[in-house]
Amino acid sequence: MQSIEGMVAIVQEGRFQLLDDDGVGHFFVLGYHAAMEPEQLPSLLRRRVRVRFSDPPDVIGHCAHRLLLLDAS
Amino acid sequence: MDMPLRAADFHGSDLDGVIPNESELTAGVRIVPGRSYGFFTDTTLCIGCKACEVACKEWNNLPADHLGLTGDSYDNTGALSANTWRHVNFVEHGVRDDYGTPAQSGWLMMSDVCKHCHNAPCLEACPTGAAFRIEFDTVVVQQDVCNGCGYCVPACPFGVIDVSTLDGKAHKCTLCYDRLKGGLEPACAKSCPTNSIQFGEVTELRQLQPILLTCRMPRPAFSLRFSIQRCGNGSARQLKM
Repeated sequence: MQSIEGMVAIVQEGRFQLLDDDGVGHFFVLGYHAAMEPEQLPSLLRRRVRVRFSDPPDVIGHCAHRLLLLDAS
Repeated sequence: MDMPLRAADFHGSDLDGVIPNESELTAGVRIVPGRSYGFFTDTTLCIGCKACEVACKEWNNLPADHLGLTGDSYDNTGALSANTWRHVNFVEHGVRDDYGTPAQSGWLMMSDVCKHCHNAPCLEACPTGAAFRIEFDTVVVQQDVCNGCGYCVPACPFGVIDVSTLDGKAHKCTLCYDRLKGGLEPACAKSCPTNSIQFGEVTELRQLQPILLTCRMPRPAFSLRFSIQRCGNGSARQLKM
């Protein structure tokens, strides 16, 4: 499974955008296997996370399966 | 070679924050909790630019789906779905059957969206209470409550609501709930270049409809179609002439 690190820039319901170290935005939908609920996503805003994801067919975006908080605060 | 200046390089018009009650400037209506708000879609003005679709996806952070071409239409969005909450429907077939040779100008464009029905079947079918009515009298699906049972999908008479295969939850237009709370008109209505999508209080929109019907005389080549996409009284319906 692929993995990426970056800062959560936008959160909207169960969807979020991650800015990687090059400033490129990546779009994610929180998958139903992720041990996380959409109401927990806003707490990750402007926090650095690592996302494990897969690429679903017929959609321009990624499906997030696991989020790991990288900053300690 | 020097790069030319961009709009972002001119800070003269930068704002400190959101304009309070911006909808008064853009839509002529102040958004107050407790009142009913909705869309009036005048399909005679729609040019099929799909700016509303793009604005909806941009604001709500929705992924593009249905990649590829439909093959039988210039509309490649296809239909409303869990990731497409606005769809400009291209009515390309049979428009001019009763009046001469079909031509490109015979197309009709109809921007479709959730009607936020007064007696909403999706809301009544939802066993968990995830679909609920908010303070602006519109129907929203609460994502953390939805269990993805999908009962709302066949209940919707307009085929609006859909369960996402990615997160297993039901999704549909929220009438930009977050924007309404911030005093902004919904993204689709604000982006409409021809004002085909008009946002306002339902009572005012219902008064607007007969005025438009008398102002615009339908040509025989076109059928004049209006749709009220939010009904304050009774069940959801579309009005056609």
